[in-house]
Amino acid sequence: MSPVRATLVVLVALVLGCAATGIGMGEAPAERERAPSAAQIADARQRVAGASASVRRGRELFASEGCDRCHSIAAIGAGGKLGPRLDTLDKDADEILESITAPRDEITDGYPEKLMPADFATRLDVAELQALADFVATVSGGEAERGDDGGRGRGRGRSGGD
Amino acid sequence: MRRLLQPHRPGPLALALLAVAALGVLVAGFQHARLFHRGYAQVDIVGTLFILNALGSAVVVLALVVRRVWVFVPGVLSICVPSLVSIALSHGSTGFLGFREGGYDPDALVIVVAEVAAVVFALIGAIIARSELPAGAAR
Repeated sequence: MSPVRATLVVLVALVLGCAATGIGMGEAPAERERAPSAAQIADARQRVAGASASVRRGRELFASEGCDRCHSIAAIGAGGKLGPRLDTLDKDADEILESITAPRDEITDGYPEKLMPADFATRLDVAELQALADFVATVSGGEAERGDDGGRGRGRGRSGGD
Repeated sequence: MRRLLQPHRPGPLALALLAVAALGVLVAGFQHARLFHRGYAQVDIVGTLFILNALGSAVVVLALVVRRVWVFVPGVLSICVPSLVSIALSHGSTGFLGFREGGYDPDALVIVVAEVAAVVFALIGAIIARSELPAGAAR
């Protein structure tokens, strides 16, 4: 084997080795976030277990819409690392609703700008969006209850008749 | 079939085009590996496909290095074409295996450009390399 070809083989083998082992590949931004303690996880499980129908519906949507593939919530075993952890958020349901319906408006430092789909407001109806926000707020210990309009007067999400 | 697995030395033009294709495959494979270790590993099936893409890319490039041109070209197509299709699906409303992305960030763009270039250059290189074969040898 010529020296040039031998060098190429070594280079490709190096790339292969790095790819397999992760050396020099960096880490998911979510790895740098603080994980909830065991007590916080137990509290979150209790809050979800005793929560409203909307919150339970939100939990179903969290899985069916694929949110768990990118976001972590230890209390329900969601381990996604592409987006920020959601069980240590310090946001109420209204702020979470804004993040779901307009995910590009505010990007958490270190995360890709365009990764989160921006079409939830058109894919889900208003009640489903609110359920999702309520679930995340509940599991993170934030405020899930809303004002008199129930968060439904914001003009976000498909109307129920769609 | 056995002839296709034999070492083949293409002419300088074909070799240059195939080398560019190899570079594209390597860049795309490296990006897939990088993204795998940066969070995609947690995505069911899709994460596994990312690391398989990276490992497969390296193997395919090695095939060119050891002059298995007729292993390299189908290898490039079988890695890059499904990858490009799945990237397109994941950016649509249906998603790919339940995974959806919202837009093409720089990482995704690098993969798309590298894989499109790999497919195009591999095909052109293969056509030129085939035309260089003596009559009857391509069969």
